[in-house]
Amino acid sequence: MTKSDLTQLTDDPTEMRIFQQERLVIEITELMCRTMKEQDIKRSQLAQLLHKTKGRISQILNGETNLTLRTVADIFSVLGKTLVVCVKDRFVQKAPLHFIPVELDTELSTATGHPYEMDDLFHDGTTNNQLAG
Amino acid sequence: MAKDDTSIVTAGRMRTIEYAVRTDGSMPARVFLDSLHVRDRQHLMGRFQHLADGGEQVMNNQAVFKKERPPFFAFKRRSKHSPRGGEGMIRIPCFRIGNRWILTHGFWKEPQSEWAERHFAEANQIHSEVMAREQQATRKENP
Repeated sequence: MTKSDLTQLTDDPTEMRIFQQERLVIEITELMCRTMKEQDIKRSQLAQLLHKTKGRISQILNGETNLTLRTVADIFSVLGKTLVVCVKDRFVQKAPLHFIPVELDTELSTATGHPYEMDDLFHDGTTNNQLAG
Repeated sequence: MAKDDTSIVTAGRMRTIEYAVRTDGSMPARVFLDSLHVRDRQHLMGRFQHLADGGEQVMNNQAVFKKERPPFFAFKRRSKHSPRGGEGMIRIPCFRIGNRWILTHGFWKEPQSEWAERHFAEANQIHSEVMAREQQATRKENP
């Protein structure tokens, strides 16, 4: 099977390490954006609540800065949420649109109702070849 | 590292992200991504994977994925590694065909400036080439 470009790139340990860093930043900042959208909170309002500039908030939400865990906690806290974390197998490329019926385990979801809670269940260590085969 | 000549960037549960393949076989978006700093490249790969896994409804941040002129959207990234040195803005135009998002090409934009018209022209040209091939393939499947 031809590997996707992302799978080829992440065969390189350095690329994979940075991909994992960036993916985590994206998942957390997208959760922040989603929560803000749900609560109709603008970037300027979040800046006020956190005593930061709007520019700094944009840097954070756009994934341009190396966030500290304390800043992450502060942001969810002022949004009235808490972030629940879990550990799972490292990113494994999957075959497209493949469905594995599983029971939804609410323990895997975040307190903000992350839209990827079902996706987490697909990261079961199954390789792409196994899925495709 | 030698890479296969695949046009698939990544495939998720909801969408597949692909490089547009031009009539001459070239993939301008792939060439552009390969030219980027590893941090920018993997950040964008993370965005592609996010879209592939969750679809458009999980793209909550308009500052990083935005509708431009129809039918184009664009992935956006502010980088500290522009070719001129210092900050620059990366843009990757794309369009959707069913469950697939096709990346047309990529370019650097000056901060605070609009897209140069030639980038829309290039995206339009690539879009036309891809759509012509898609229609040809559909006709072959359903003569």
